[in-house]
Amino acid sequence: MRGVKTGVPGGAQLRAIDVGERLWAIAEDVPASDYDEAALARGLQDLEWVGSRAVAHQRVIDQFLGADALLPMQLFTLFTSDDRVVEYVRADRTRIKRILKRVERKVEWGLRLTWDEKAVRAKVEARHSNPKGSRRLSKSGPDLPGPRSGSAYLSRKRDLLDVNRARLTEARAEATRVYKAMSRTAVAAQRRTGMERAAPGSRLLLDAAFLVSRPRTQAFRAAVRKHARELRGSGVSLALTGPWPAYNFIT
Amino acid sequence: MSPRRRVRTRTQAEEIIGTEDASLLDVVDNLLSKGVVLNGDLTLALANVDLVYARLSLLLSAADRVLPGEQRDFLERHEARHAKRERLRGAPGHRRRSRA
Repeated sequence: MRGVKTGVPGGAQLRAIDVGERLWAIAEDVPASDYDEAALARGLQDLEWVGSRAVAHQRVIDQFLGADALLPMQLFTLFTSDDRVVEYVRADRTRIKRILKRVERKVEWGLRLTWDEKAVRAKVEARHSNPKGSRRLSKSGPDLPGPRSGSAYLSRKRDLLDVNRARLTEARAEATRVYKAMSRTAVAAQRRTGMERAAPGSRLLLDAAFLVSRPRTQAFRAAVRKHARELRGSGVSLALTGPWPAYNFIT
Repeated sequence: MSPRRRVRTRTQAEEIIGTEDASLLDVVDNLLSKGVVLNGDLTLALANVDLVYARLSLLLSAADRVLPGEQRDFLERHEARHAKRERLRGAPGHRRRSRA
């Protein structure tokens, strides 16, 4: 445990509790006054308070990402003694072993595709602005090339709408294609469809988590880069995060 | 914001936390809402977590998931959905147990 940073604010030195059969629980002592029911109830109203503790928790987890298998605990998993930790693990060992086996030598990567409506809109605007390039004054604002007449205005509006609809449909299909292709490089994949469809106007095309075996990491990242290249200029932007512990694959 | 650069430099979640607000929210989201491996002696009170989680979902949406101007609407929809889910399950989601 040398060189391992401390955990949450107010916490003591991190230590490993031997829970048997080559399993260890990483823990730290915290003052009850800062983390008892009342303190948690108060703290949980405050995203800043939760956020700083979540970051601290994540930092500890990150230091053990290289372990053979790692199960991240939920934030504020509190026990009244070391013995209680051992008891809990013992009672649930079969399930814990099953999950450990699933995530052994694997990490999670998050992939998010978003729709950049502005980029598409800018293209259409450019086509409808004065072809000679001389910008005219407009009531709608100094930096907008204003439409010459009512019909030009309507035609521009219609065009914008059409292009947006068509491109968005294309982009959604593209996101599904990327998800399927990336799934083949991963051990398991999960698409968080609920979040993607949270709002009809959502710009989120894909929010997915992939469980990737460590030896396949390079191949996985190369595949992401390939998709990023293909998507360049299409109005779809791509963001990869990780490596994370297998948050989405431990249930 | 080239994806290639991002892919190469991100080796630690810590780096991500430092560089992008949305990722900080991801961290909180993951740690609060994802699978529970062990239940502790002191388990998060349901009502409180829901409170902070509802605000978190909003922030996540505001960060990069919803078009500008849709946020208020989203809040209403979110709350309606949340209420419906609670009614259906009899207890809120997020795989959490209430204190006995």
